[in-house]
Amino acid sequence: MQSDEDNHVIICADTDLNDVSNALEAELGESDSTKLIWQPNITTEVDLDGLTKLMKLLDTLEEDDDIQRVTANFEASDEVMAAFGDE
Amino acid sequence: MAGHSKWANIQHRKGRQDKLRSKLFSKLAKEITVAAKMGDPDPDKNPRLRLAVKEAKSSSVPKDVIERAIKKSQGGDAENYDEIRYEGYGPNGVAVIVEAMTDNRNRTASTVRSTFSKNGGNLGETGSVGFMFDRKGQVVYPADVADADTVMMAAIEAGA
Repeated sequence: MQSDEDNHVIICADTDLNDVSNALEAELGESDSTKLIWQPNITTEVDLDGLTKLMKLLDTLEEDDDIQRVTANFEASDEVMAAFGDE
Repeated sequence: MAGHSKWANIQHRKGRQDKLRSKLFSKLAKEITVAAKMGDPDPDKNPRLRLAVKEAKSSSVPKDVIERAIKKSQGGDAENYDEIRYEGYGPNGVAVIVEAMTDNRNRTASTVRSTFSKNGGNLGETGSVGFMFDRKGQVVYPADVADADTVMMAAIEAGA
């Protein structure tokens, strides 16, 4: 589990998702989101240039009506994320 | 696990931008139609459909859109969607998984391939990057639902 200023994120085994989310809802109420994800177990660090190019690829893929979801295993420092957010 | 939170953050931020809101609605509706078609049209008897409906509701998809998506799955003339996973590398060797639902595999495969190559990446074989990811369940609560310790206790009790 991870918490930051916006969210609490709880990760569980894919096959347990229904049971875990039901149990959590009994305790905490309706969640913001409950879904199966691809969680990276190895990540690749990107700089601002790399992140900008990568986001263009991911955004273009996501804009296609046939594509439901896109996941990438990148990692970026706080500085790079902040600089990207400012662009 | 610092990398994961940044990864989650950008997903979250992108979701919030809402500039592609109608696209998001149609994607969520498609997941509902596919889930309802594969199993029981009653969300209580179909775990995948239940999750799809819940996810749609939490993204404020209107109720009638959800009902229409379920109804659509029961009509004989509903499109047949194939679920396909594409795997490839983006710029800087970042691994990318693309999940598609399509009624035309050829169209989608060629679009995905050319999008990768136009943007400094390349599409690989299925399985080429999958080992770098684990399939997991994820539940997200707003920070103000409770403090971290309370949520942690609830998560442990829930079996996470």
